[in-house]
Amino acid sequence: MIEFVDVYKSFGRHPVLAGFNLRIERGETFAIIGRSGCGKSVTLKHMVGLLKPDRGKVVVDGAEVSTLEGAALERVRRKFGFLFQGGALLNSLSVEENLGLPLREHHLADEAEVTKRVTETLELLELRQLEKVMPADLSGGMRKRVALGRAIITRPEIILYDEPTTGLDPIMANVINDLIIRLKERFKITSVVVTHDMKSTFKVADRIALLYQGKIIRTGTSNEFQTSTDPYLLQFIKGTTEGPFQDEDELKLKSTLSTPGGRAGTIKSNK
Amino acid sequence: MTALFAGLGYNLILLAETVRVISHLPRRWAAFIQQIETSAFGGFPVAMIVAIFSGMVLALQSGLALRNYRQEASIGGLVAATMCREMGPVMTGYILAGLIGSTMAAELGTMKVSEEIDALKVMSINPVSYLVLPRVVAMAIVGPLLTIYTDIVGIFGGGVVGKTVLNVDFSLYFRNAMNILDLKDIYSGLFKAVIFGITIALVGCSQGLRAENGAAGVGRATMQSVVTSFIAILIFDYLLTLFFYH
Repeated sequence: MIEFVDVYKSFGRHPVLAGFNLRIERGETFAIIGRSGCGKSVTLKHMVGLLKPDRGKVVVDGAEVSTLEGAALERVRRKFGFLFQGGALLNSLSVEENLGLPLREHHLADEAEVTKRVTETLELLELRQLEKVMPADLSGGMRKRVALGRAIITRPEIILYDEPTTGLDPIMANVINDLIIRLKERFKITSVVVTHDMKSTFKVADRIALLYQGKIIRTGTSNEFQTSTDPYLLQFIKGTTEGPFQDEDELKLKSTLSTPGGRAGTIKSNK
Repeated sequence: MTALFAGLGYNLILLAETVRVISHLPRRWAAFIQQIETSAFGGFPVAMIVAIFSGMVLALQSGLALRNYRQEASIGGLVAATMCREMGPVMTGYILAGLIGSTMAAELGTMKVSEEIDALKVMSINPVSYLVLPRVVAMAIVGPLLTIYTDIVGIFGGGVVGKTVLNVDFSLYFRNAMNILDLKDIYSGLFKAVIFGITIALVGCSQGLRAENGAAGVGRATMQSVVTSFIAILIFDYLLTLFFYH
């Protein structure tokens, strides 16, 4: 339902995505992992048309997002909820106003229904009595949960999570992980999680992809990643400095990472 | 030069988009009223001080020169016409650019670098409708309102100097002001104030919406909005003066 076909994207002379191919199926929780600055957030932003590829296409449910503008793009965006890394709550609005914003702006509910949905969402997120609080007065974990509430309140089909557990303590990170799982089970939402938190990844993801040098180099299930002996995966999961990942400044672009046709290799099971 | 034309192009596109969504104003009423309050109440105290002293200096300088020709009684008309045509709208413009335009740039710039603008877009909320429109319309109204206030205070300040330094009675001063002042002096000045207000809001918003690289970028956007607004006021002032009086 979300597909990247041979996508290239550069910022100035710095290539971020280079022959990027990916397919995410409806209903799954898909994690994209990779080193800091490798293009994970850029990938998410392409899905909602915040960025346009230099080459290639991004398709969501048959609509080529990469070429859409105006009302057509807005129709695709309404399928999505987006949890930004810092939450991106509007600081001039209270918690209640932030949560109710998409409902009010698009007249999706009357005031009574908005109040009811806000209360229910705060209950789901285990945040009670916070309606009138301003975002600046919330802790980091609370801000993330309110932002998640804003992302889900319109009952989207797809939720994008940009580093949902970064900056949180282990307990709060697990609260977010549990919320991601609960949302999938309760609302059958497709989730795309961008992260380098491997513990969270293995807990929430059905499938995982490793992004490196602008393309997906490995995909597989959570179990396959955990039991793999692939040197790239081993180095990334264990966080060791020795291994095939090298400093980008020293690296030459090699074609040995890609299989013919530019498609990622799949993980072989160790069974 | 490329950056200059790129900036000009961005501002023109932003203006076009703001005009396109003008029908959304009733939906943005609360934000619009809040912007009026912020701009007006923020500008009034500074405008009063700037206006009164500007009127006093204008009356003093011109009065002392006119005294050589025993024409100091004419300062009423001179101060009134100068304030209404030029000094009122231009000074008000500078005050609003420094106080309010910079605030707009900082506020929207902070929203940009913390991804709040992206969040609006993903929620299919047009940032121009939600953020820019109420600010532009508010400044189009506050500009001339504050200018009227500045004109009155400046003319009054000139009258105080006329009485205390130049021995020109208040009644003579204001009678001379009313005789000389033309309707055109007033409406040309207020029209300038509307244009300046719209420009300041557009420049502030456009700088903020293009801010990058965290706090440093927001600081740059804030500074750039003031500089660009000042230059734009000077250019528009000349062009509008040419239009009305040539």
